[in-house]
Amino acid sequence: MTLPETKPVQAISLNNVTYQYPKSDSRLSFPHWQVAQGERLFLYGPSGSGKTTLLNLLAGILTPDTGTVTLLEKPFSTLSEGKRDKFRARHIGVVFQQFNLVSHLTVAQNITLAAHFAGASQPGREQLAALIHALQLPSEVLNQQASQLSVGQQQRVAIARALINQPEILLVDEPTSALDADARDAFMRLLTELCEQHHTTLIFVSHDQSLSQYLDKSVAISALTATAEASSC
Amino acid sequence: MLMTFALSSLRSRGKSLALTLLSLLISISVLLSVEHVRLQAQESFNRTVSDVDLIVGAPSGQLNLMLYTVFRMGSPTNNISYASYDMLQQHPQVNWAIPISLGDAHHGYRVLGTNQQYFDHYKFGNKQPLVFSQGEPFKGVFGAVLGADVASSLNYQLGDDIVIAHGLGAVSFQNHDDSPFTITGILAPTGTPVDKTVHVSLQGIEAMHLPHAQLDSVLHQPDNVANPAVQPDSVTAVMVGLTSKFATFTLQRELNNFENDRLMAILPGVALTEMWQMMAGVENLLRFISLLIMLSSLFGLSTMLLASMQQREKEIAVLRIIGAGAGTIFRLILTEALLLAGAASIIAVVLVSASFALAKGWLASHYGLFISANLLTLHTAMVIGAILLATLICSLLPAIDAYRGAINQRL
Repeated sequence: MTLPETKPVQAISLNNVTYQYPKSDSRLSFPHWQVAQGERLFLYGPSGSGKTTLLNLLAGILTPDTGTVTLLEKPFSTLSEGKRDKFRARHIGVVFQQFNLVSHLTVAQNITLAAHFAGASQPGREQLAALIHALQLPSEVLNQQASQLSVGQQQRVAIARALINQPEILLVDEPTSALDADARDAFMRLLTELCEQHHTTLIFVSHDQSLSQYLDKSVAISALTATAEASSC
Repeated sequence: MLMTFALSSLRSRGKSLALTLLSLLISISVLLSVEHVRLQAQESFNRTVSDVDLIVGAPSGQLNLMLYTVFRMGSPTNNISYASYDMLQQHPQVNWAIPISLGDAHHGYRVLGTNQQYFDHYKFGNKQPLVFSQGEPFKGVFGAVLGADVASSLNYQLGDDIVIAHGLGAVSFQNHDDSPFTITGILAPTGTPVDKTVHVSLQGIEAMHLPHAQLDSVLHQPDNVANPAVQPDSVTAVMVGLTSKFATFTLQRELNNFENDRLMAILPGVALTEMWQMMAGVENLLRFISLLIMLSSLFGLSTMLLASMQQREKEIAVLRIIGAGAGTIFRLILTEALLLAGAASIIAVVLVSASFALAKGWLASHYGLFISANLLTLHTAMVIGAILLATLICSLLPAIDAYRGAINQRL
């Protein structure tokens, strides 16, 4: 593979980031970590290893006590809260384990809402239908309330919701833990396919190492925090 | 978008929402009713009498005199002599003088003895004169002119004969059966106690109190108002209009010091004000109670929003992750509260208007309160504005709670 003429864009870059948990002594530290644009990364580690905290830092829900988080080569953790919210809306998609949707809104409204917060134009009916179709959901679900959908369907809608603004970065946290094996396989294929299509940087977090087969690269969270663990011991 | 979201969120909370809405609806309705009745009652009182400069009667209290002459409530104490009425009529500073003779009733409606002056000069509201919807003023001794309510509720027509009872009760044991009065006219509605009054001539009042033998001679010549047997020797009070308003206080002092009769002259405006000051205590108590009710239901709203906050943690997390700022979450909660209070206000206005439209007749006939059903006034708008403001303040707590939660929210 030939290198592109420009230097590959760093989607994520963490520098000397530390985070102190409130009301506890434990401290998490990420000395140096970079992810290139378009990489699809599997991040694994047992519960309590700091996976979710890392995602919170990447999404800008938490801010590091020291160090900087740089996203798409722009400072992120030092932005004001409002600007971080805007940045997140435009450039980051997130899929949780469960409860990704506002239960009382319809599927269409859920997806439109994400576009609204990103300041994007409201997606048209065709765009929504195409998205839903790509996720192998029947188009009737658009007008159904999110709470009426099965968990598997909800998770797929969550991908649609996360991808509507065509974010450069997609953060996914144990999205398949509520799914059975078949659904999990279908979900993973869809997710990676869509990310490939849109050249989206995917950070996939799970404790289930069997899922690593769907992604390009696996990283243990302990490898990122190792230095910190050592220093704190 | 915020609006759509707030509406959808409210709809999803069916029962607790319905109860909160109901509680807000009741309290806003109470508040609006109290405020409306208060203003309307004051207006209805103030419009009862217009253009009368002085009311002259026997010395008692000015409120008492006011009550029985203008509002036809309570019992007259003493009469003043007819000579005093003559004196007033001839007084150079007096433009017109209406004699009033009270003390009898017809099916619970007050009977008022007076003369042509009443129909010429009595004014209500904004100096509106009395208008006949049918017929004309009485001419003879036994003519009667009915107020609009009397005619409609007792279903009387022109030319009907009516019998007047002595005393003021609805049921009387001493009917003046021998002296039937004929209805010569019916007045157009005024929205004042005039509507509930039966007007007869001063001579008629005298005639029905005559002994049987003397009455017969009067009945033989019913048109002879100059009949010496029926000449009044006293009246209850006199309403006076002056040639110049500047003379009011001079004449009042002159009448209060009148030597030939014991007189008291009052200024209706002053008496009305004094009356309202008396009512102010009750009025403020009512307002206070309705404010408390309002406050408690606003706390109910606040509680509902606070209680929902726990269930909504996930929803708020979703909103945050798709880029909603903490400020948006804050505004969202306020929007929900305002939507709820706004909806309750609109329903309350409709409900209260409908209730007053239905109860209008009953309030007028039982309490003499003429309340308009039109609630769309500046004052109502101000009350609702205040309610919405209070809602905003009361929902600050849950909104701040949501804001904090949003900031501390983890994935």
